[in-house]
Order: sequence, then C-alpha cells, then structure tokens
Amino acid sequence: MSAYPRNDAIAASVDVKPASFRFSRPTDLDEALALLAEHGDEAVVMAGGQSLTPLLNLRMARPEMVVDVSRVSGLDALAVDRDAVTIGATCRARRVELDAEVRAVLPVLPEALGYVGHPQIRNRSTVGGMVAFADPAAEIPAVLRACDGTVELRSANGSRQVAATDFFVGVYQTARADDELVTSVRLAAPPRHRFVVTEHARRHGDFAITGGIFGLALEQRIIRGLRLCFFGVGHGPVRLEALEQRFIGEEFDDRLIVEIAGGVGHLLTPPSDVHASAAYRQHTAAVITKRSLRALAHEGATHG
Amino acid sequence: MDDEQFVEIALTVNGARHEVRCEARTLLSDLLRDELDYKEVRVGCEHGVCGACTIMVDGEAVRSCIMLAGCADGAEITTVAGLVREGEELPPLQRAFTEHHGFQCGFCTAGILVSVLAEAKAGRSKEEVLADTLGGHICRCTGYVNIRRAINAAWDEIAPEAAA
Repeated sequence: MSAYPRNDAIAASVDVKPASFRFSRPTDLDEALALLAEHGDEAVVMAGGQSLTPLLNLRMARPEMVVDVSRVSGLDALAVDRDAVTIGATCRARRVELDAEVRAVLPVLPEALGYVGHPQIRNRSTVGGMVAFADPAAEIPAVLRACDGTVELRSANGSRQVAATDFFVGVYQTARADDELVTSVRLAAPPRHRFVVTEHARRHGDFAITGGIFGLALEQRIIRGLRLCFFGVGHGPVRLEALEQRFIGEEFDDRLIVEIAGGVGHLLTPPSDVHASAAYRQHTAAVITKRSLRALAHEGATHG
Repeated sequence: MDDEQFVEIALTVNGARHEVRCEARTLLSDLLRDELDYKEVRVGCEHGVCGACTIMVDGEAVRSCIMLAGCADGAEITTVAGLVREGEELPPLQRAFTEHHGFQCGFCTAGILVSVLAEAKAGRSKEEVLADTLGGHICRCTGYVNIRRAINAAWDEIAPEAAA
C-alpha cells in the first residue's frame, strides 16, 4: 500500500517527498543504543521530527535509517530541583514551556521556547532534539550555553556528560558520536541573574536572523554577573565570556549599556547569507543588546 | 525494498479505526489524504510552516506534513471533518466563521479551525490563541481580520469555563 506513485519517471523527478529509508521505533533504551551501535553512521535519530522531517521531505537529508526514539521509555522525564532543570531528551517543548515549576526556577527557558516556531510545532518538538540538531539560529542551544548547561550522552558502552561550551562544535555539528544518543540536558539558573531573551526575525516564529540571551545580576547598581549569548551569528551559540568579565564590578548605567553593545558589535563575526548580511547581523546584535539590557535595567528599578 | 522500509500501524481517525501497512517514508498527511481518503486534510508547504495540514493528534494541534505515518501508530487523529457530526448544526466556531466571513478560498481554514479548537480546549487564553496559535497559520486571502472576528465571536462557547 503506497501513497506514492511507483512510476519510475515520476519517482525520479519528485523531490518533495522523502526518499525511502528503514524505520525503527525502539521502546527501550538498550534497544535504541544497540541500533545506534550497529547503524549509527547511516542512521538519523528522530525525536519530535519537526526539524528532521522537513529535511526528509525536501530530500536535503537521505538517511538509510530513521530511529524514532520518541517511544523509548524513561526518556521524557522532567525534573526540577531547587535551582536546576533536567529535561529528558524526548520531553516535548510545549510541556517544558508551560510547566509552572520550570517557569519558577528558570524563566529564561520558557521565554526562549516561546520563540521556537509556533505552538503547533512545540507540541511535537523536543528540547533534546533542539540541542542535538544544533541549528546555529536556534534558541535553546544558546540558553544552554548561557546557563553553563550540560548534555548527557549515552551509548552501548556507557555514558558521559558534555558541557555546553564543548558540545556545539559547528553548524549542525555537536560532540555527539554516531553511536551516541542525547538522553537529557541539565541547566541551572545562574544565581541572582535575571534574564531577557530577544530575537529578531522577519515574523514571530521564523528562524532567527539574530538573537540573544541576556542575563544580569546586580547588587545595588553594581554588576555582579553578566551573560551575553547570541544565536544566528555564527557556527552555533556564541557566548562573549571575555566581554562579560570586563564589566563585572562596574556600575550598570546607560553609558555602560551603550559600551557593552558596542563591544558586542565589534566582537561578533556573523555570516552573510540570503537572509541578512554580516553587517546587518552585527548591527542587529548591538541593537538587541542595548534594548535587552535597558529592559533588564528597567525591571531592576521596579523590583528594587 | 525490505520489510524495515515499511511500517504497520493502527490508528483511529475521527473515531474510525484503520490498520495500515505503508512505506515508512509516508507522511501522515499523505496517508490520511491519499490512502485513507480524508481529503479535508490539506497539504501546503510540506515543511511545517504554513499550517494548512494541521490536525489533532491525541487532542493536540500538530502539523501532519512533518509527522511520519509510522509515528502515528496508536494515535487518535481528529481532522476538521471530525469536529462536526453528520446532519448536526455547525458548532460555534465553524458557525462564527460563516457568519463573520472568516474564509475566502478556504484552503487554510481547516488547519485554523483545528488549531484554535485544540488550543482553546487546552485552556489557552484568547490573547494567546489570537496571537500565537493563529500566528502559526498563513492565510493569503483574508488579512486575518474576519478570522479574528470569528474567533472573538465564538470564544466564550469554545473555551472551557475557567479560561474565559
């Protein structure tokens, strides 16, 4: 039974339906890891499928095998403790976004998730998938990086934790080996920081042209902590740690905000592509830095 | 082709049970439209952006064009046609769309009705539905004005009491 024509001439010219692949749907982690151990180099892992299926449909990806891990038991747990959130790889984005405990402990995460596509997408997409896919325009890798999060990887041979700073190595490239599965991500709220997420896209829900995760910890008016992590500006999330350190101990006023934004504009080296030039992205990054830090300053004033 | 390139699934669509064997690469949208004859499921962009293909999977609004049929094993699917019963009056949202001229060509309409009803029922606020939920649908005809009017008009009847 096939929805697609068997006529070879048509099949050869059709490039808007997926090419054939073998499909596995393990229900058990060991089964999934055994599949990756044997087929990892020719298989892709599917969790929510919201990034992968479009690639399959447009034949931009033509894997031999698709391993759907969304039914692997135990992979969708969501745990919130005093200041950290541990998200199982197949936990749906919408569930994390709407969870009251997550919102209380780590509000930057639901705020960032609100920028991921639309609710209909988030009903299926997974935080683990976003991290494993490592789209350079993606919000969640930047949140992970901004909060010094970690990624848990498992294979048939064992497990390891990789810090966000080491996990995202290039465009759609991560430290995950072919036989490994992202099983969970963990991130903690940096103490006393308030965060703002700002994304510039043509329409809300589109891929980011440029965006940032901005965190600030103030004592009186003195900066005790600063997080500046950008997405859509390079090969992956770009955190400007040296710039952050430069301003610790300084008084947080508008003059300083302008200086920080200037630093951002100078340090980022974003790509040019069909959506925006490098100069546009640099300028946008500086502008959203100013807007976001001003928003954090305003919040600080009203909350004391 | 070998066996692993096929899937055998069982799913319920608008209350009717189907057992299907199809190629693993079959999209849920194509399974529903072409194999199972649910022509009310629209196919637009085929990469999850336009929203025309939106259906309910286990009560949640989902893009059927970026879900593999194999992932729908055991699922309860509701299409726009499943929201109305044969011979009965149009429910409030659908009625509001006709009264307030909320569609022109109608191609995006099925997806919008499904999304709005699923999200309203899940307890989302009207503001969120008018912004985020509707924002996930591209309409080239109407400019959204009458769509919003229709949703506003029907809101009290489609949202659970607590979320009014």
